[in-house]
Amino acid sequence: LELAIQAAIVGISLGFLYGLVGLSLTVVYNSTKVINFAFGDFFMLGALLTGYFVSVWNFFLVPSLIVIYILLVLLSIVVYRVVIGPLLKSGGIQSALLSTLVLGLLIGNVAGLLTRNAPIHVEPFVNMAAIALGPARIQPQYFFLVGSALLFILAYWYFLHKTRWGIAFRAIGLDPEAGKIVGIRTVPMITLSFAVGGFVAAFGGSIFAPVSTPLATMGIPLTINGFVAAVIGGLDHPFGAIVGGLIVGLTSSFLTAYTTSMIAEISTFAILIVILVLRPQGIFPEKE
Amino acid sequence: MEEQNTGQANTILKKVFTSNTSLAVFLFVLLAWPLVVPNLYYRHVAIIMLLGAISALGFNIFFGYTGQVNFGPIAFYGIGAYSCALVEMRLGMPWLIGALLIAPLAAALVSLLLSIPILRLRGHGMALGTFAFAYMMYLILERWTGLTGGGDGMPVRAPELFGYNLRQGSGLYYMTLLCAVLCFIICHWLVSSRHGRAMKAIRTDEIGAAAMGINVMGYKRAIYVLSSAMIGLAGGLLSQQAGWLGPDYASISGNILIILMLITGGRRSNAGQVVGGFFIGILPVLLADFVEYAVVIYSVILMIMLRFLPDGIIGVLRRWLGLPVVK
Repeated sequence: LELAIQAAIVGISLGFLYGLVGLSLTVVYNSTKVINFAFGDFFMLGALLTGYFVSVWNFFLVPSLIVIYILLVLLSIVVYRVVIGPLLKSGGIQSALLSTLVLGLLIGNVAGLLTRNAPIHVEPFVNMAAIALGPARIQPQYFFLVGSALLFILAYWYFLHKTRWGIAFRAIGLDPEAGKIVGIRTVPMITLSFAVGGFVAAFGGSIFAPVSTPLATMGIPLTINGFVAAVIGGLDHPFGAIVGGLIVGLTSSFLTAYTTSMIAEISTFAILIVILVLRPQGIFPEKE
Repeated sequence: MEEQNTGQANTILKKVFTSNTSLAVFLFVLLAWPLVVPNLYYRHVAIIMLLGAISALGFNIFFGYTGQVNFGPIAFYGIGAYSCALVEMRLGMPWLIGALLIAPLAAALVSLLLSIPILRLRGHGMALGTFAFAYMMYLILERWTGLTGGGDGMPVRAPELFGYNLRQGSGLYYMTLLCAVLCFIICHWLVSSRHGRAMKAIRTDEIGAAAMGINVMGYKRAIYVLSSAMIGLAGGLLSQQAGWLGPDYASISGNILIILMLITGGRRSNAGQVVGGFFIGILPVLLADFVEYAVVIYSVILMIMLRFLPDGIIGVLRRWLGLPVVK
């Protein structure tokens, strides 16, 4: 039972991580119809930078987080303006997708060279004794992480549904042409979507840094798991990704606990195949 | 005056570029290579380049001509290499059957199974599905120590024919060359036949193609399987040449390399794939001392190519000579 509770807690937090990756993918997908495969590596950067700022260079937590968030948002916008935007105009979807994938590999490998592929141990943000939950002892960082992820999702929902920018943002996703006609400017909206995606990545990466021992090579599995989460939820539902993430996270954490990590990693692919065969549009009913 | 001169030079170059004679000369150079350069190391490099051309040719018919987003070609390279090595070393089959039959067949079979879910997808779904498959394949090859030797790799016996060690002489080189020429002929025939027009129709407008009575799914599946079989063949030949097989041959770095060959040579050009396979295929040899920078270098070249030369070397050449570029 102890193992099961541990696995459940780890699975839920992994689930939120994958869900946030999926969320960042759907945000950009909605405005451009392109999946930015580099976002997994943005999460990696978020986690890695948090590790360096907080545990290696010993900066204060909150200012370093703000700096990291700003850095990644800017990087994401630069990626759109320099790499993906021009390709969307000229080369079509094949080139744009390929360039995001390659960009992710580039980021991951440069980070790997700079850090010599060494994992970093990051101190938890909340310094408290482990909490007993039944027979298992859980680090409070997990609760902090799930709580802040939930808060973040609520804030994002508020942004999408209750603010002018959010509504314009959803309109562009539904029908870019009609959006243009009613006077929504597309390019700023796409830029905004990249900024939001970069921010989600920085936020998600940073809150997971203490429980994940950031490593430069973790970008690819993050992208894959996040994409599977987004596909399970359906790419048109931004919050479906969170549910999808929980499914992927729980499956892989229970498989890791009871079998080997190889089987757990392959299970993600198996889930992807099953979902694609049974319900390629995601598990939620389609919007009208 | 000068303009006229370049114009004249261009016409001559155009003739050279499009004539069959230049193709024959190129083939002659490839045939004579082991006789002119007896050095074993250079022959090894030449084989690597030919293998690059085979995998790029195979990859191109699906990615380039049919316009599908397969981002995991290396999976089939790995399947070809390992299936060939495994039937040879564990089951004791002759290497010739392993390399020429089992390797492409295994890749074809796996791709046939994979095509059931993968081909239901378009764009990003197919992109990540194929990429994730390549990544899983790499994990399996690396971690299934009992079967593949894991990260330490596994040895492959030197191929022998009539008592000759082909790795020592030029036998393996000629065999690879023969396979490359056959693959080129198959690809060339494929794209210039009515199947090529069907592939173009699928690439430009899938619904339109279906409305014209083209069996879109059937074509995609057939091309995907054929494409994977060719990449598998290259993998099988590689296992014979390398003598030692590690999961690195199926790594993400190799994946990027095959994609880079295709983009550098020029999408939708078979000749381009030979050029790309040769130019990019030699990169791992040149970068042997900088292995850790390899992926960074490949990615940077690939992004620059995509952004500024999307039609590759052949595209630049053709445009410069005033020939049409296939869109």
